[in-house]
Amino acid sequence: MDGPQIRLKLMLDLLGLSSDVATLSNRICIQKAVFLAKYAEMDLGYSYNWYVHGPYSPELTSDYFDMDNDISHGDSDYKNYELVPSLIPMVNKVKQIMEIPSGVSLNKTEWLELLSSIIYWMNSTKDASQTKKIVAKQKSELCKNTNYDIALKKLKENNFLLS
Amino acid sequence: MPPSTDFEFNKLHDSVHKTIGLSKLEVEIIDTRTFQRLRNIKQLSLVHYVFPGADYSRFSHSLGTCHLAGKLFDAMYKNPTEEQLKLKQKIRLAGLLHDIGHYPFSHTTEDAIKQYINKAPNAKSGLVKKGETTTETTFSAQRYLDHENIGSKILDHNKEIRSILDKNGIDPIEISNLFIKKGESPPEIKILISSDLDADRLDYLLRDAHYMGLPYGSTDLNYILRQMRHDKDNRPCFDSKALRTIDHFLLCRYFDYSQVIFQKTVTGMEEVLKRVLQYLITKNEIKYSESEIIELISSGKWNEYDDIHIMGVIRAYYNSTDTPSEEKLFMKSIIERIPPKEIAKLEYIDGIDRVESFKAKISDLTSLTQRISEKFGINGKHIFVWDNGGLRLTKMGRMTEVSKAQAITVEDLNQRIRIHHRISEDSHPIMERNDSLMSILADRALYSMRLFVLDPNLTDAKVMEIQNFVFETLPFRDWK
Repeated sequence: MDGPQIRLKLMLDLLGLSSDVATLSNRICIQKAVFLAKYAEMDLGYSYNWYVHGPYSPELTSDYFDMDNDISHGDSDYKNYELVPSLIPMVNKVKQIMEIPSGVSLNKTEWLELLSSIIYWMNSTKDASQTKKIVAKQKSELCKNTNYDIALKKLKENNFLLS
Repeated sequence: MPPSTDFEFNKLHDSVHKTIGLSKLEVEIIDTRTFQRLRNIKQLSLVHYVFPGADYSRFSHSLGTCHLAGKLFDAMYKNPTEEQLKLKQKIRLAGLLHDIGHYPFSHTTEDAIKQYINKAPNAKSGLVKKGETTTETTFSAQRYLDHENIGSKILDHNKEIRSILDKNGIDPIEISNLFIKKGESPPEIKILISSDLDADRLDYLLRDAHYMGLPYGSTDLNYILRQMRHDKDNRPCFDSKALRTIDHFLLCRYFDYSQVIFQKTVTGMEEVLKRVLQYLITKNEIKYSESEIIELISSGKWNEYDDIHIMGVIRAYYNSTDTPSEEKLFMKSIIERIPPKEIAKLEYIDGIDRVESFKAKISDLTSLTQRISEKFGINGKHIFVWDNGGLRLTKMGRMTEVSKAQAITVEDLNQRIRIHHRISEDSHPIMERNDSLMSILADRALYSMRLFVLDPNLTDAKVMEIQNFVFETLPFRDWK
């Protein structure tokens, strides 16, 4: 198992996310958690484009499938390592934002998709009202009720949006 | 504007497939400088040092893959609708562009970079061994881009290609997801570009056989195409009549790799080249980080980043008085074709789940190089180990064990070749058919490793002495 896969595995473990990539839902969670980590000052070096389920990194896709393949073939090298202490607060910051606040009618995967979509478009447009329009159009199911406003508030409170 | 679905807009002659038709969009892509670059990337890196005919380029292979992707599509969709023809254009494009992101010297450079940056994980990369402490507070996630991901970046950042795709209303990610190994794409079309029997594999096997004059890739392509169909769940599969032909195809690939790609001198030269490339990485002559690659693509310098450029760099360093002599020996080996000597070879066939045991043997042999260096007075840098990682006949085994099946993804399952069952109208993976060779062989892999020494003064007697030392110190039963 190479460094990037070990790092990814350890981060997912700390976040309480499954590293099983057999389901689309799990893969979306991994994609979005790594995306959020980038904005928690833990940039794992993946670049993202906009795709069907929001921000998507093909390189990350390759890495988590490699990780899954190595683990399923008995590679347990990751057990010999830990993340350096300076990264732990950053992982905790991601963990905190991942918690679904009351009033939000979404599951974990959808919540992460909404958070990531807001960050992605906020960075692209640098415009709050335009971001709201785009996300509301692209992710109408996720933005129902007050979901969008709660997500935006939580992102601001936790300093995930670049000023 | 949607692309035209006229795939005979232009024609060219290919030595393997004869006449190849191309759409207007494909011609525009081929005419870009970035695609033309592929003329100077050899498909098989240094294999032509041993098999003189193996000097064809990724340019002709990409054209062939585009052509075969279309043929596979035609075999699947006998009377396509206009919508399906648009899909055919995307599949052909994915075939055409699947190798656009290859580094100079293709996989050899990719492996050299991977080894260079993935050396022992360290605190700088965010990892520390359990029980150890670190004061490191800066963090840099050093990563490299593989050729598929570079391909994705090219589609995104190369102005020429991007504008052609945009003009034709094609989403670059949709195309790159087709050629990226595990990119999210509909399985019924992904199978044509990335599976055990895809357009890429079909073309390179036929092309290898044609150019090298070897029989290993002589696949019965037309028969395979004629037997393509859908099962009752609309999954792509092959008529059971094609079972033997597909067994043969998978064996062809096995022999092509074991006889050509893993040939003794080829592997020795490739390992030497890898060391030269790693030296050039330390000199910043090989770019690999995402920001550097995007800069190369955006500035157009990527178009000159090919085999010829790197050979020029190697010659310049070889002629420089600043280059250490131990590095020059590797460069001389590449420039003058002086292969390293094979000291020992370990080779055996075992279960595909025995990779860890194989890795342990590689580790033992690698650890021995320092002792060989001291005992025989050879520079330790010039003693090295090559291994094949375990060559499998199919991307997946039979997966009869529950524990393994749990780790299998839908994408993995979709890579298997399915055979139609005439009675149930269902289809089953070829390795689950008890009348196929793959039912026995899919769970097996060829494990191979070699110990090389690059020393022009090495006598045959010295080679024997080192051999005896290796065999006595590591009494594996599979030394050959």
